[in-house]
Amino acid sequence: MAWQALVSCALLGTERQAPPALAGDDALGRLLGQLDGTDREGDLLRAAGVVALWQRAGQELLDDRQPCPPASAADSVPVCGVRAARHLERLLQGQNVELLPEWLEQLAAVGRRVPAALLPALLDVGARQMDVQPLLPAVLGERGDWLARQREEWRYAVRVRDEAQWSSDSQAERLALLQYLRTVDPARGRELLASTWDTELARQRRAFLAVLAIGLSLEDEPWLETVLDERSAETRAAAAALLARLPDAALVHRLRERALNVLRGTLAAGRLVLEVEPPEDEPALRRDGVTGAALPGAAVRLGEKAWRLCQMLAAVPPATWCQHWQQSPAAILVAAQASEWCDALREGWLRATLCQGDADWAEALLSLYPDHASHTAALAALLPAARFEQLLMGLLAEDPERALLILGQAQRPWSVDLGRAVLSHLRQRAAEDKSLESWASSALRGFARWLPPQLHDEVAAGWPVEARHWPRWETALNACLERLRLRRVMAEALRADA
Amino acid sequence: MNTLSAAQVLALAPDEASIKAARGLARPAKWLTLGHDEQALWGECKGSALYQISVEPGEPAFKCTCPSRKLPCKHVLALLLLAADEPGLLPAAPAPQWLLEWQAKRAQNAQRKAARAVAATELDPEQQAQRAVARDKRASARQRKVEAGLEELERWLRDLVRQGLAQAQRQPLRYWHDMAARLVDAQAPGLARWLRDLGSIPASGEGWSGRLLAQLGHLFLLLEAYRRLDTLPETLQADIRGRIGWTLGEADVPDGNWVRDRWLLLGQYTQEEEQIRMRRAWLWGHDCGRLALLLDFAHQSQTLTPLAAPGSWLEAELGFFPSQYPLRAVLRNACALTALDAAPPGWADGAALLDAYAGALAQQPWLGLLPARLDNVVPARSAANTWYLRDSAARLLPCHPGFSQGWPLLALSGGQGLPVFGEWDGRQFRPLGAWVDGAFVAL
Repeated sequence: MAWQALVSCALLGTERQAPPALAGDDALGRLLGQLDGTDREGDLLRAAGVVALWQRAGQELLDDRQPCPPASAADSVPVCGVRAARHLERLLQGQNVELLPEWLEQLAAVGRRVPAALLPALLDVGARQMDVQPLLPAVLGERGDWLARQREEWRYAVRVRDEAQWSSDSQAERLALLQYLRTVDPARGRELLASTWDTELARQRRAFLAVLAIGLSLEDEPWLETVLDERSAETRAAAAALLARLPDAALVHRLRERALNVLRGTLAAGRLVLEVEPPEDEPALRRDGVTGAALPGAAVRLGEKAWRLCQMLAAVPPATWCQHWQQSPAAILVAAQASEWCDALREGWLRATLCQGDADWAEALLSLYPDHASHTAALAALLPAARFEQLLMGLLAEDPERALLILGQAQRPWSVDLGRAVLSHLRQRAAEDKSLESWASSALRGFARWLPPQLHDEVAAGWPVEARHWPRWETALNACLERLRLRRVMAEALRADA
Repeated sequence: MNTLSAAQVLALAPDEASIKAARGLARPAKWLTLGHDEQALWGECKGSALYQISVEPGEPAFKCTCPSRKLPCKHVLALLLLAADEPGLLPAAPAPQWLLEWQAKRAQNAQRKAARAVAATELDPEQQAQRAVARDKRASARQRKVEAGLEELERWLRDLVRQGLAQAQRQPLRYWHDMAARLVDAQAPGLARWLRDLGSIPASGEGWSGRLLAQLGHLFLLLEAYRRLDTLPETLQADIRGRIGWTLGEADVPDGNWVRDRWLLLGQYTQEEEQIRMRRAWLWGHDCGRLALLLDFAHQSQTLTPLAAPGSWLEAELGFFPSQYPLRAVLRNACALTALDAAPPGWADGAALLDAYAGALAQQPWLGLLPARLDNVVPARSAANTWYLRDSAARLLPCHPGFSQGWPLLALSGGQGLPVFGEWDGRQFRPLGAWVDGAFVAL
């Protein structure tokens, strides 16, 4: 009370109000009673100083009314060593963060987990970087799982325990559950989703449908067909795209029948000639995802008709055309170059190839058109290791520009042989005193991510240091070597823990 | 090879930009030569020119031939980082000529300095008396300056409450900072910092008027006490001078106040304001059981005296400045020790900390911070995103709003109680370190 009176007086100012008299019988009151009222400002400040100190010395803490949340379970897996932890810390600070997935894989391989103090930074990075997320369950440990539950932004990393999590208020946690179920019991995952489908928001529906790509099979077809009748165009398109991945789905059969009429091939003098009559807009086609709307992630610009053509082709397994015309993918792609619908055809086949995971078509698309922008890496990923290497070795000999373009974008480790072949080609280029194009300079740095780290010393040697353009090469090479060395050092530190 | 840990190296850096630059240089491609011997590390770094870097990590002492005025410069930091992260890159080798020259020059300087110190003690009585007179003259000149500054501050305070806090709330920040600047001129930097802190209260939201009045009253009592300084015990006089901002040096430590012990560095906190960096480092003495505060200041262009990283042990002498509640000290003759398995005793819960704080205030009413270890607290977060420490009696100690390590502390705790060390300022706790399975972790 005394304090409130002092504050009110101070707010108004002593020129408008005299300080309150605060004399009393207790020790504080007797002390305050010594103020005689002759010095308004001094009295107010002295009294404030005394009462504030008295309060400060006697203050109490608030009670926590919440029950204490459950603590983390004990971890049986040990954390990584100090040197490895330092490497992780530096990766998480954003230095060479693209090497984080590789580091996490190796950590899991040596049977260690992330130290507790670094978990918050790792969960932050994982929330932004999709390629990190699938690697987390193996390295977070009990502590990381517990921590992920403490913050909404980190719920994506919560380990899945039971279906009760489907009623969680965290969308990230529900997505994680659906992802998990689709890996171990796809039908159960679909049933769970179908059970609450009507109450989900449109945005969430699309996110859930994206997860259904995991463990997708014909068993999912009947339910996905019902989704094709929904109101939201984007939801319908997502369901149609899923069905298009199933070669035996009714949707694929329907579109294949139509496509065979839309795109015809005839042999003239042993060469394939293509004739295109793009589909018109009609409700049945719209329902199957052939809408004429631009597809996301496309590098080409097409008109509405061309998009319908592209969407239709995207749903037809590309092997269909090879069987139908008895031609190789490469021959078909070359034939398309003569068509006025060339771009739409290529984009459609690209999508179909990715959709069906067709390695033959992927190889043909890569060797004819090495640059598919954001899709190059996905195409390269469709090839088995031996076939990928064979293709690249061949291209390096015939058309090295193409090989380097593909290697600059593919996201897969190289064998020692491929690494050596690429290096000897690059040395030769440098020796011919060709200037280093800027794309090649950044590609060289990028190669360090996929070259086997044990090649480090070999990479460093044998360069034509006398060449006129060498200084530019040297800068790029040093960046590459530094990264390669970092990968080797990081791997060594982790192996020392094993 | 005697090297610093990466954390220790980063603690040496004069600013964030230096750290960033040093990380870029901490890779072998940037270095023409690298090497080490028993005492020193060295390297030649490719920058705009080829720079030669010499470091003796023990002290630490360093030299670089680059033109940067930062101390240590990015090249020195980069060399130390390399040595910390990848010691294998610095082979043992005979020292190059330029390093030997630097070492010779340093030895010469040290000799000269020692010779000067000897000369000072060997002065004849007359010279000593002359020096004492000069010293007293300087002290009384300062005293007059401070007294004038304090008088002005009192008038300013009286004006403020005469016109009312509501009026003061409408003042721009300059109103507070101008008074602070005048106190800097009056050689009362402690009060100047206090004034700048006051300036942030009117905009600090609900309850600001009470918080401001409490500080103003507190400050006014200090002015009153200074006026009657002669009537107070000597140790309290020292506290009052200290709060005003009298600079203290080794010479102000009475001979009997030196304590030789093995000290654990418990945590440090560096803050920057008005181009001055201030570092608080807390130590605990293994045998004496005392807590101590090392306070260091440096202008922005200068570097703070390098200090070992939190969690390190030092064998050293600490000289405590006179005080009713002695905490502040200076360090001398320090050398690194291997870690001991010991930690300061802590308070069982928040109530015990508050009792201790009340006891300390009774001795030294202007005590700024009480260092404390709490034995068993769990970090907790309110819906409003502020951090608390929940003690074993389910009471909440609010954390300082500037405390940014809440999530890492929570991760370290795993929801279990753990011992936490930090500073209690009477309202908020700033955690600086914690013990996980008996090992100290700096926050």
